[in-house]
Amino acid sequence: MNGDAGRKMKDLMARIVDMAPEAPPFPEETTTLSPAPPRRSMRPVLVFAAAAGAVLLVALPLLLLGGEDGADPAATTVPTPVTTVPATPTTTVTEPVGATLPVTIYLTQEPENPLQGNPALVPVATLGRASEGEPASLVALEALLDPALTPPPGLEDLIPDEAVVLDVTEDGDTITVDMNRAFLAGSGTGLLGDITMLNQLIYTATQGNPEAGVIFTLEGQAPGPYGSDGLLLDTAFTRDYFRSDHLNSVIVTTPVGPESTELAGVARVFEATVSLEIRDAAGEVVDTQFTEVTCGSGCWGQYRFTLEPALLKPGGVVRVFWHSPEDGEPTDVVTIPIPEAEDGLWDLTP
Amino acid sequence: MTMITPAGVDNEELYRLHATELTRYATGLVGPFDAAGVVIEAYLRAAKSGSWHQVVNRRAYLYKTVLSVADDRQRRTRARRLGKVESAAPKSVPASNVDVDVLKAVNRLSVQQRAAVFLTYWEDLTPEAVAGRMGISVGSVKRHLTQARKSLDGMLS
Repeated sequence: MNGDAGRKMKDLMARIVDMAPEAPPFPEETTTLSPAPPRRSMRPVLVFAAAAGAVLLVALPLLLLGGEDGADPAATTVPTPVTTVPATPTTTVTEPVGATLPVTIYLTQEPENPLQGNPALVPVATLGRASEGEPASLVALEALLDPALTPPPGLEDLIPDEAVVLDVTEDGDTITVDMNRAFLAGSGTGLLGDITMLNQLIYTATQGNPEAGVIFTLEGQAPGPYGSDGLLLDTAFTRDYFRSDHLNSVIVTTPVGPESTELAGVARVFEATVSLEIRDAAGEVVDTQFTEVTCGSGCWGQYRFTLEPALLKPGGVVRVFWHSPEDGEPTDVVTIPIPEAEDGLWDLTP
Repeated sequence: MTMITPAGVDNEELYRLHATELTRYATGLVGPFDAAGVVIEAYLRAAKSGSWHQVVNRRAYLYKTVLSVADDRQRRTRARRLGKVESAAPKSVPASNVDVDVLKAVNRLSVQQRAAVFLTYWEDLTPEAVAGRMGISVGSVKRHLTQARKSLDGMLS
């Protein structure tokens, strides 16, 4: 950026800092804390924060207007904790009866340039072991969390082997995913990896209802701090919750197989144009397409491609990306491997 | 500017050491009226987390928690019209200190954009350091800065 704009930004920050109030006094409440409480309890925090901030909150925050996508923020003056544990589960897990069910699980892919991009999610179709009465989201999560899972080439799974999904309940647009304690450790790769792991779970759990929000519980209770940075999982996480800062700008939501006839997803790309190419097993490009996203630059929109199955050869890949306005290079590339099975299902636990 | 919390400081010392800079940061994220509340909530949230005693760089951890609390508030709170601000200002922030023009400008930014701008232009951090402080990728930092500059274009004099 040019120096003049930088100077103006610095001046703006200086004027903001000039408005800063005196630092609040040390909250004495913390002197009685135990060093590592086993369970998170937000109530004392919120009570104290509400008391400490009561005078300040008489006047409303000035700076809390809408998010990047232009959505209106919620309408309260004091943050209200979200209840994370549903009163009555609506689904009970029964003993397995040996049936199988095609499900989609979401694996991850490192960006080609880690300095420029975020991890991508890649949908992969596989068979889950279904029990009578189980919701598909639970079957899919169990497939994703199978310790024997071996991702296809180029893909990764950031969820620790010890993590187990204990139950899933669906109630309208809310999906509650109950996990065991190993889940709280996160990916073990830092904050971005921890959030990517959450995205794997969120996208997999919401495959039947992309508008749903996912509430995580730990053995039926509100979970403690999660991952390397102690994230608080105290809300219902929708697919768009983390996507702007922590996911690739091109998201694919349909798995690809030799018989696939379409590929769809959402993207936030330059001039609302997303591109696709199909490569065969030798790496030769056999098809290229581009299409428009339903929302222009700076916002997320939907896109959809029509595929010619005859071009989808096992061992090949489908690449989805957008072209950089600077050098025309493919950017935020998602590379989806094509499975051998005609039904498009990967055997991920050989 | 690099500042690591000295080894061996207790919670109160730690708080006193960083409260001023965290309050400034919070002011950049939520404005002067909510800044103190955000700092207190962030400190309590951090100190009560199960991993607090294992955190090596507690200053960096507190910065992330302040951002997280500010972000939570943005998601859950609807701002009132700026026209009501001056009359509603609490006594802890003298009205003479309130720069409405600046608040109107910053009001156009998301919390994440404010954080990226504050850390870049007030703390003079590199994009890599800002990314580490915010827990996002360098690409996201650059995107936030670009969008912030675009949003503020024409408003800064």
